[in-house]
Amino acid sequence: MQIILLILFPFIFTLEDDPNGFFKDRQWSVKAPQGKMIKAESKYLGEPIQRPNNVKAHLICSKNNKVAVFSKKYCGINYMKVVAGKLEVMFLDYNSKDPRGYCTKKRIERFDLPGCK
Amino acid sequence: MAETTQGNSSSERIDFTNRDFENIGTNAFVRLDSYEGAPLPGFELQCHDNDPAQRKIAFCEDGCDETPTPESNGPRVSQECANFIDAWIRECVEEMGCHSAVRFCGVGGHAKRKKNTPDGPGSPSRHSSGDALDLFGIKCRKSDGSQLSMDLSKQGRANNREAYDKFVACWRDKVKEYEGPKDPTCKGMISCQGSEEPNNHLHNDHLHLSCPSPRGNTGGT
Repeated sequence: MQIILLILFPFIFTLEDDPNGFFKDRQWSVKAPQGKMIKAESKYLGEPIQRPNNVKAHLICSKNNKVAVFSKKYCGINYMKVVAGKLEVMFLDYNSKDPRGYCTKKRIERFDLPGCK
Repeated sequence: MAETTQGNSSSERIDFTNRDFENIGTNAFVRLDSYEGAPLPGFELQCHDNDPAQRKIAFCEDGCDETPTPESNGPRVSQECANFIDAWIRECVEEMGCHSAVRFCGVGGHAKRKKNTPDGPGSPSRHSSGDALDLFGIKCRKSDGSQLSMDLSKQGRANNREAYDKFVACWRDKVKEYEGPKDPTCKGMISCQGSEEPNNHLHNDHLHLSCPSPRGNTGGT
């Protein structure tokens, strides 16, 4: 049995289309200073191959007032959290050297948080 | 090109002495994971021009504003796509007025993905077998020595309409010629149809360049 599993393992592994769950619509809610929230919505477009997702993050000031934090196309996002008053996002960039061409190159960006008007 | 090039590991070291490209440079022979079953043979295209005298056409993952270094990554494409690019890219960039120091920038090649459809993942993308490139820009020198720098977004294409149309028409004709009776209209191949079809808004920020596929995948994206 173990031998069969060992033989099948590489094939099982390669069957996974989206092991990180990056290639679908996603949402984040992040706690921000002063009891506010940041909500980010990401749409999977599939294009271009290097940056197939489009994310838009907003600071929710009130029910009818949200202020843009950032918006950009990207390959994968590992996490987003507020650190020292900034929104820290770990992106995983397209990596052609990965045998599947997936999003595996880690990069952190920090975005200034806007004020509520 | 070196007679022997190293792939991902020493076990992939392979001799491709007979595969000497004339117009493109390669960094490595690679194996591409795909939906085709066994990994497909392919090449990592060269970004940094080690020998400008050879006038190789470069393909860089970085944007046009970044200066290539020997460590700069190039995209990976299938062996067949590399052959097709090598055969026709020179003629097509010359059609648009590029005569030397040609560099495509912001390039994406192989990625094992399926097409995104309203109903979820569709059939395998042409990128999944390394048979397509997504291009964000091109830089080159024209015959008079001046520099052409073209952003391949919808606006950039409009700003350089004549050069862009000549390039796409050239590539389309080569693909059609190759596909022949199998696919005379290049159905589904965006670089054949042009990139501004009414429902093609996903290609407003880049140019998708398809290679003909010997594997019968006629999908465009």
